[in-house]
Amino acid sequence: MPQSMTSAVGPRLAVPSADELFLRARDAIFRRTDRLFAGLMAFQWLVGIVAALIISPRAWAGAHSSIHPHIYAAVIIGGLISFPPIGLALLRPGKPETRYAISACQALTSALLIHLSGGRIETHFHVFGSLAFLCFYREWRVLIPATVVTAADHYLRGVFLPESVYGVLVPSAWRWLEHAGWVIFEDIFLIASCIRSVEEMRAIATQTAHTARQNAELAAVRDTALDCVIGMDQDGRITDFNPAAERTFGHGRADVVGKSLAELIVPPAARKDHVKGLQTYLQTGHGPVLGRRIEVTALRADGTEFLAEIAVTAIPLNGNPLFVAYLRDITQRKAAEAALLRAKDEADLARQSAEAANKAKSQFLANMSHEMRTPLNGVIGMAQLLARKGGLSEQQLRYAQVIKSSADTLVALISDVLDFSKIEAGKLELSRVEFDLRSTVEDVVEMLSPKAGAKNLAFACHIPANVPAHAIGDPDRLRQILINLVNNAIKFTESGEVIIRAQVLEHDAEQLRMKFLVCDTGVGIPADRLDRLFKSFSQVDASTTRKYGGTGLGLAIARQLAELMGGAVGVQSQSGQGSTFWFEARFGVVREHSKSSPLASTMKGLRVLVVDDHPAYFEILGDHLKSWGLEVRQARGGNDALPLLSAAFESGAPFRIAIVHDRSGGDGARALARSIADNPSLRSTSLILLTGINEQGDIDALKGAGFSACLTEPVRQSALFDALAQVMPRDTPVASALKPSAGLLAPAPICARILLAEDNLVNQEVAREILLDAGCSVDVVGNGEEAVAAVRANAHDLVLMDCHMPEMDGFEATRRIRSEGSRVPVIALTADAIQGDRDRCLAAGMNDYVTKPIDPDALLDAIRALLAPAAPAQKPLVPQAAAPATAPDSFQPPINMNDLLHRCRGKETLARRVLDTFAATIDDQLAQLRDSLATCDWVVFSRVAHTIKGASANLAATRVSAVAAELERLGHNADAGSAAQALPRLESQVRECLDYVKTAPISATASPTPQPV
Amino acid sequence: MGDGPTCSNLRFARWRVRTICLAAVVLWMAGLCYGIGELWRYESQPGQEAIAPAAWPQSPQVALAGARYNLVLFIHPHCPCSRATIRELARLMAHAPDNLSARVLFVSPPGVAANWASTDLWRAAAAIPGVAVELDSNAKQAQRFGARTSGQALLYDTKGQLLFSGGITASRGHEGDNDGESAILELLAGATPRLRAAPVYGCALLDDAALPIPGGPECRNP
Repeated sequence: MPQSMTSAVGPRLAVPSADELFLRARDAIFRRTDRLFAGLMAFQWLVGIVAALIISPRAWAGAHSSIHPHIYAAVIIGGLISFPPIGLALLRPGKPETRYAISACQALTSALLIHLSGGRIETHFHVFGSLAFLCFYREWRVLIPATVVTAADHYLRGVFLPESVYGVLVPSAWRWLEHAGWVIFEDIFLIASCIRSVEEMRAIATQTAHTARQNAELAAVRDTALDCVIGMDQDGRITDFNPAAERTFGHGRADVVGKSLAELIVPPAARKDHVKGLQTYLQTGHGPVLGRRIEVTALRADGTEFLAEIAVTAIPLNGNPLFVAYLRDITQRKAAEAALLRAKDEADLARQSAEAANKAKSQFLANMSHEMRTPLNGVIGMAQLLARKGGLSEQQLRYAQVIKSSADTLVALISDVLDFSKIEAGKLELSRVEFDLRSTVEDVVEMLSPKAGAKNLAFACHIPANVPAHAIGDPDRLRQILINLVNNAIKFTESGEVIIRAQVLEHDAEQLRMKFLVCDTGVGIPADRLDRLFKSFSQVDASTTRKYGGTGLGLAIARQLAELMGGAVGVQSQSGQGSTFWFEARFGVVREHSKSSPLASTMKGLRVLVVDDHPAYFEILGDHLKSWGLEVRQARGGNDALPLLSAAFESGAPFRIAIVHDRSGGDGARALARSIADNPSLRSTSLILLTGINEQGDIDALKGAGFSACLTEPVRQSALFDALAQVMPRDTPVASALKPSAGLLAPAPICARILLAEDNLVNQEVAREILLDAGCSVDVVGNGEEAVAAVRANAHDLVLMDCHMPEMDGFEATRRIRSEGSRVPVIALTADAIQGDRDRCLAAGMNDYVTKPIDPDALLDAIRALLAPAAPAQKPLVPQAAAPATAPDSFQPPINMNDLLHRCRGKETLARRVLDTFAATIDDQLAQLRDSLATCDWVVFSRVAHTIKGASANLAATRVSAVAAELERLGHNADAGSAAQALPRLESQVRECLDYVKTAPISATASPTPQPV
Repeated sequence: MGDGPTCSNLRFARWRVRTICLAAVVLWMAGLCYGIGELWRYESQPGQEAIAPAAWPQSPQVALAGARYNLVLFIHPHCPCSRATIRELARLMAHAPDNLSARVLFVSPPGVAANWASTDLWRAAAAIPGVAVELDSNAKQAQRFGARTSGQALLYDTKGQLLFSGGITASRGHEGDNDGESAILELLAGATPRLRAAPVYGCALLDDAALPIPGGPECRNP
């Protein structure tokens, strides 16, 4: 490496400041002027001598002469004046004493020369010339000694020899001052000149310092630049070569500056182009490479060539261009780029392969779903049919139930995997429909309460009053998350409680942000395992999987669904202390008019005593009651309740209602009721019994004990409201029909002719049975062609079309049907759950979409939705009529004719037909209930109970509907004992209804105008 | 330790240098003052005054111009100090009225060559308009008029009465305003001058041997 290469980036001299530069320049001026005056004074001395020799060489006396005294004066006095400052200028140049001595002696020289010249006026100009000369110092102080000497000379001569200077013997006393004044007059201009000169020197020094600093910075940048910086003049010679260039090319700066750039660093093959480009620029002012970043090949000192990136700029300098090239060795970068390109190609291949594999996986999942759901559909359907047909032994019936239960589990697992797959693939789309937010949460509670009840867990939901009744979102996915979290909570809680809490985080005109918490008192989760919870296929530990089962997908799906809803999911837990799982979600806002409940005014201030020792239940119950304007007090048990009731009565503010929560099978409640009945002052208190799901005893017996109404956990807000309305004291005006959630009605029989196009015999059987059960007439075909022909030949109200059939699939068949102009509603049946299939169905002209295995309710709901104009209304088309506000429970008819008529759009004939249909079918249904109970066919039992519940609700036979709902729940729980107790009650209520139907006219009763809630 | 200069030695050395410098400056200034003082003294030292006759001495070589004032100026042909006198004469002639008859007598002492008086002073005097330049061979006229010093000017009125006697320079060889010239111009203007005599600055017209006059005949050395 050349020597200069090592020192190029060494320490640099400090950049001088402006003051330093100024002082340096002034010192140089002082020294230079000192030397100037040293020469001048020597010259003046000689001139004085010569002048004396010329002007007055000799003094005469007659014919005799001698050396003139002026000669001696010129030599001696002139020497005395001149040599000291000359000596100082030589020995101490630049020092103040030197220039001050020069200044004084210069004035003395002027005086001497004036003397020697005989006082010639011209010689006086020497004084002024000397002062001007002294300005060479550019320091006004230097003028002071000269001025003082001149003034003193004139003053002293004016005093002692006035005639020698003023020509008169008696001049004015201030004449010397006049002479000195002219000197000062000049001094003023000279001083101004000096000051101005110093200012200019300072400005120059400042500018020079600035330039020096810029140069130093520029040099530092150039020297420390990682890129090569190479300067070249118009002749192609190198003018600059920075250290990076030295390192890159292997040349030392001293070796290359002034030499031809082309010969040193341009490879032989490129030299011609280089020279040509330079000439072109010099001739035209345009260079093809100027101002661009290009890649070239460069030559090192050792003869090797390398790839370089170069940018060249031309700087016009005094009319000649100076080229500056910034060059970078890109050998390594090129190699890295090549490697990157190779890697990218490989990654592209891998990505394509992965995408293909993913696509294949999706297709595989869809196919597998189809393939697995079809036989499972068959298994479930056949198991249901098998159980329904009856005639099975108890063992066979149990086998059929196990088959269905196992198939249900498998379907749930497949659904989980499919959900996860859809979410992962980004193909899950949330619906945005208006739904009942409170009911959705309460549905979950009701659905899972049997599970919680089986473990004797306290299970409830707390929905504060500020939670809006309706929202816009996907209720199914909200329900799915809640079910997931609550299922987990119940699964991992052996004792204690599971409480669902809803909170409003934000609620404005645009959006509603909710937080749902599922709090349990279960086993809890260690802090170090929390982060694994929401990961796919991950559980707290392996033992969890063994003990509790599960795929580990539930929470992952919940997390992803919550995120799709614009929220998040999380958990706080402590091992052994329970857990709180929460998630947030955003919903659209439904603009609801403020609705004032009649109860709010009629019940406001009514005192209610809640006898419950469970804080969570009391909190939830109390909040509901308070939100309706009731005054609520708590008693922890019967022993606490009686004194409170008595005290309230004595204070003149008795409790009008007492809600008694009993967990002891009714014994404690009965005892309390008896005590109240025995106390005349407390007898007017209406009692509502609240029983646990497992503690439900003989309701009739309890009612006989004094309870006016009975509620079973979990308590829906609407059910509580109904019970309150039912037991409201007679003196209280009540709008008993004002139910917060009384918007949805149970399904009605469907009287429609339906074409079922399904190739699979099992599916055919299942679907046909469902449709027949729902009151439809069914035509069955086995492929698309037959379906098209059947639609062409017959007038069907609706077509159920399997998508995948032999010969002609459902898509093509639907397209044919549509092409022939038929607008018959078509519902697709498919096992594929991917959004794309739904889109295909709609694109083919189908109206809706139902997945397999067929959920009877979902199927029938879809059918009802499409046949809505022809079928009985699903939703009330007119506001629901309220029962007479003053009608107490015991006087309420079993069927609310007002409701029924409203539901039938006021058509009495239609209402009568519906009642007749109910009367014609109810006996069979009751028989089915009895049979299925006897054979423990819980599927049939629950379904029939469900049917009765729906039908009676449609008739506004609320008491029948309530008991049927209870039976349906008991059927789900396979609770034979409770069902056996409840069934006679249902029969009793039904009989009461049928009697009422026979006698009661179908007409609206006089009642206050109902108000919707 | 020990070999290096101590603080006191350093202070002493500095004191010694300062003292020497101060002494040198004092000596220099003293020498300078003395020299300049001597120069002043020489320049302001007048020559012997003339013992001029109160009435114009009758002489066939120097006739009185009866209708005009008569100015007679005696000049040593080689006196450097008289160069200023000739210039002042030229200035005087420029300002004098027409009733002045001026003549310059270049005094030639006995024993000198015939062209001894032909100098630049002669030519300068001859170049002045209205001035008659004459040679005073063997200094006869100088003796007649009592002139002793080069630059001696004598002014007589139209009747030959002496009005002024003295030099017309302020000091030796020094041009510029002076009392003698001012007095002559005042007399020529008919005014009464403040002075009727002034010192004469110049070389002696004759040496002591030729003109034994007390007071010294030569340009005085300081």
